[in-house]
Amino acid sequence: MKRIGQEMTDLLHRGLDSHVRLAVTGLSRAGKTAFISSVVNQLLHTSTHDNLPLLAAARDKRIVGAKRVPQTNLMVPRFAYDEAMEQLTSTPPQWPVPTRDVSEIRLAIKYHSTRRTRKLISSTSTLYLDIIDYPGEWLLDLPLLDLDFASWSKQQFNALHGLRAELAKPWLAELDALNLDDEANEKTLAHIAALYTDYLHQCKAQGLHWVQPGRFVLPGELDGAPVLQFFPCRYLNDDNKPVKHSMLALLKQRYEEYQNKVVKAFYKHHFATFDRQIVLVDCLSPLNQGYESFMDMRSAIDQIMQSFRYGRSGMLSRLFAPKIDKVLFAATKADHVTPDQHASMVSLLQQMIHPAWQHAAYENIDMSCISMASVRATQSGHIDTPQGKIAAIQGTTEEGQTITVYPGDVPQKLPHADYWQQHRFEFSSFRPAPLESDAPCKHIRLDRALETLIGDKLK
Amino acid sequence: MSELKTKQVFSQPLQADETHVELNAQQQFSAQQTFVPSVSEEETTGDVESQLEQVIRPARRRKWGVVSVLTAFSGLVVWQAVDSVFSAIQSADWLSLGWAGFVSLLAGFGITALGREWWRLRQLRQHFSVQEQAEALIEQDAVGQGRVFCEQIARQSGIEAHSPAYTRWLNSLEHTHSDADVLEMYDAMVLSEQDKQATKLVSQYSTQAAALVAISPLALADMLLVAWRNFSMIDQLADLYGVELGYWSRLKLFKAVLVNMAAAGASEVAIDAGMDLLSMDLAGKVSARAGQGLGVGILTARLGLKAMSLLRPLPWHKERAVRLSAIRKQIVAKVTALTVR
Repeated sequence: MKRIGQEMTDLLHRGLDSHVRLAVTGLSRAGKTAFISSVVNQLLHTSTHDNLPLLAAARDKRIVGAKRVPQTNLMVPRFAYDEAMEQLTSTPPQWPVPTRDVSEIRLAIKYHSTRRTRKLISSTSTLYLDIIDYPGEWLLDLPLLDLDFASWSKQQFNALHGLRAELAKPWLAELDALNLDDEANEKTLAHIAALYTDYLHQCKAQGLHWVQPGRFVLPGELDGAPVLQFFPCRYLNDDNKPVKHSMLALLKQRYEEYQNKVVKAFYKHHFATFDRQIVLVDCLSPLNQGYESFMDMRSAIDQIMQSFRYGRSGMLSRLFAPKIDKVLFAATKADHVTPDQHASMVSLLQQMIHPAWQHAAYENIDMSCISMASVRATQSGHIDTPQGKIAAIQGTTEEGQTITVYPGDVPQKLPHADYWQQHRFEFSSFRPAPLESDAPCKHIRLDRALETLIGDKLK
Repeated sequence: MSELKTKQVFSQPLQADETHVELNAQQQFSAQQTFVPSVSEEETTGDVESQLEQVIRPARRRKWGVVSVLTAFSGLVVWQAVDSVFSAIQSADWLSLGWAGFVSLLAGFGITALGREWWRLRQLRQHFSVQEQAEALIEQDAVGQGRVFCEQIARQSGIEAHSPAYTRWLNSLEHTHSDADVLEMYDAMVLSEQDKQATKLVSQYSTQAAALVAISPLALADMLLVAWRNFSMIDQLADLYGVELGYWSRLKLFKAVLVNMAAAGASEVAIDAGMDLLSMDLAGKVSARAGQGLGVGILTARLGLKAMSLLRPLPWHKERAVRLSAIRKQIVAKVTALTVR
């Protein structure tokens, strides 16, 4: 009964357009957890600090305040905001630990509306903002929903070239020795699956992002379960049926189980009902790693974007079939380069997301690109040299060393693959800057991101 | 691609960026240009452009012919004067020397007045060029010039350095803000205060104009009254935004306002005119004079709003632009209060 009441309230909020579900999308290490922590932190401080000057509602002092409220979905863990803040405020400050499971947080933002209809109802209105955090690896599973075992295998083997082929050698050797029509043997399968998982881990370590299935790398509560023990196979045809009780039959069964029980459940519970989306992209680390890494990330982002529903949402569709009507692409870690490079960063980001942009543009939704930093790690300034002023940033690297550095130019367009043979990009990573007590963490253009994402709902 | 600069580690202490750099607009633009993605690739630029309201400014023309004729004329006059003074001294004609002194004193007054006019005309022209610079800054998303630019604007428009809005803007600035961000914040924090006062002025004047026409019994008196109110409204607005007006620059501004009113965006006119006609029609049903008063009031309000968009140092952001509808309501209320009893 209580549940029904809760759902009715939710439905009412959605109908009144005072409920937004924000999809924070990004591959692993793109800065999703840092972004969510920072958003919560900034919004909680709006009543006392003037920290979001580019968010119109906050700038015009229309936001009364914000607080965390209990979420409606009780089956999902609460986003570990306090822990994340603890890590950011510890000495030395640390980045929040990467997410290993799904979690959710709900914020209630109280504001003075400018709309007359809202003002009639009460002097203040409340916007409920749901933010969901999840490991970026799992997101890569969403495309599996449209693929059967044979086509998935084919896709995986098509991608096996260059670095991937090199890394896959031990797994491929075992796979070729295996006769798929033999009587199923769980132990052999587990062994080869372990090799496959190993290969995926190595891909990630080498800076490749398109790693499927994502649960293999980050199993969560499914660690060691047989549903995670399968792998793609060569030379499969769609029409020939696998022999009963054979290795292939078992692999196929497990794949389908994975699709239905793991991926579909994840999708249904967390992904079907978003209104707004921010896609976080870390453009700098693929530049450090090379051409292949960049292109790999690009295709991974495109694949992920296919799994969301885009379109203009009216009142009815907002109630029953929400669609994402605004997408913001954000290049994170803008604080790791000097401010004059931000424009180049945005231009590079546009190249990175080009296929995804085309995909979403068809639905006639609002899209934009910015560069931002959720939690600022460095201080920007300049150095006086005999040759003149040089822009520089100062911060503490992950190794604990304080450096002042010009991190290098960010290319506006991705250089050719052979550029990396002579030159290297060396964007160092920094620790978050120490926080002042009772002050919101510093950021770059997080307010602009919020303005794009929820600004129109705060009118 | 080998022109990309590589990583550089420094041992010197980091210096905070200086803020009081002289703005050298022309040169810095061209230096920054290499960082700006070309227009065809940046999808967001189209966005920004459409968010700014288009304003038609008077074109800058150099009238070389007029200038050269004037120079020749003044040169000849000076020559003639010097010549006649010399001959007067030589022939000891003290009377004509006295006359020459008197006339040149008068001419001096005239020249100062003319010079002041010219100076103010120049100032107006400079004001328009500031608007154009602001548009350029917003469109090209560079870093580093916004703050200096806005500080200059604030000085010109007479904003006190300790006013709360201005200090708030200064405090919210970060080195990482792009020029467009800085300008947007200035627009929304500092300039919005001036806008509020200006809107109040416009609505005050337009309700007054509406009331005057609604109660005055003479058509000719109406026209004169309205013209007088409108001129003094534009004067007050210019004063508020810190633009100094002389006789010629006032005329020029008035002309620009009229041109902008005539060439307002088609959609804007369609929506506004529809509403105007409707309210005028309704008021006309009650009383013909009330309908006329309403029409004149709305016209004055439109004039005032256009003058505002010409006098502001920054272009209007679509979201924050003052709409006619906000003022119309007050006019209607005033006129109905006067005529319907």
